[in-house]
Amino acid sequence: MTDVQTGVTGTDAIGHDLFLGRNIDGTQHVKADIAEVVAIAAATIDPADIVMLQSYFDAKYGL
Amino acid sequence: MVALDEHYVSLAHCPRPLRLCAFASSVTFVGTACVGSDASPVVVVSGDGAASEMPSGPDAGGDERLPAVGGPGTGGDGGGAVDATVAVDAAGPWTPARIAGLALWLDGDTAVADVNGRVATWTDKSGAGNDATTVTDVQKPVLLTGADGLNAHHALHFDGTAKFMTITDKASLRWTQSFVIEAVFRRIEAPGAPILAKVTAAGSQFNGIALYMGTVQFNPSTFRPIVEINLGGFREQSVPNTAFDEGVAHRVRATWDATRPRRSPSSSTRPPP
Repeated sequence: MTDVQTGVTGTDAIGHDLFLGRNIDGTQHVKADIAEVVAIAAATIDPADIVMLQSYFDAKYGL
Repeated sequence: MVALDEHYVSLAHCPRPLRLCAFASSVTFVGTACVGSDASPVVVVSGDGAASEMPSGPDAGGDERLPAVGGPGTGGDGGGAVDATVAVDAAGPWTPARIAGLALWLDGDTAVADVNGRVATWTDKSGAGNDATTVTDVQKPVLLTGADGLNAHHALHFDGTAKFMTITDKASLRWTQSFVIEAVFRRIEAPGAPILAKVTAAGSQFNGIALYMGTVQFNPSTFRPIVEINLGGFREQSVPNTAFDEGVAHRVRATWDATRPRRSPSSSTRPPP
């Protein structure tokens, strides 16, 4: 994706790993308990899937 | 999802009727449903009206009665079959695995700890192979179970000093199209820190995506979910109205519609039941 304002290619961060619990430079460690993480990426995401995902989390964790 | 009206049970998204065989009193019953010849999941109905779906077993096929759970009369004065309309999704209960475009699914309940209770690899359940891993023991998050878990589910404890996990970059993690990131976690304490970050650099000039729990610039005493999507210095933060209270479960979602950096996160802050 290229930002229309800057022309810079962005969100994919090609060549950089994904980090859970800290930033890429080794700073900003999270102090938390992470139970579940879900990511969806597609040209079109079905809104019904988002509703179901929220219901799934809310029911599972009693939110 | 499930409603029980006397002897009638229904589930949402019901594609086919089933004949429910139950031994019932007038109010409550415990029973097991009959299923059709297509070996649909068995529906087990408990006395409180809750229903659950079970995998088909050897007795699942055929339009015949199955033994009631606990035997005849369990739920009261005995009884016979009752006709009911039961909605059964043959694919079983809904899980994120059904989502088209699922790129990552890390579930604490299926995380495996070593003999010291630490998790070296958090296996991705999406099918994309995006396992989160660690290298050294000091980096490994601790698996919390039982009463230490999060609302009766396992969770991985990140200590704020050394624990983190890495997922190797690959095409399925390069989110250039629409995306949704949703996480459930419990904040303990920390300054702004990313739950998830796939970025080119730290600070404010990175390109990429980060889902933070952090302080709001104008109100640093309040922790809120912050989603940052940065493109060459074009930085946006999204801050919902709900704060992150310590010690309770939160769900946070970040979305992007692929048209420009924009987020619409939401969160839940209800305390554990």
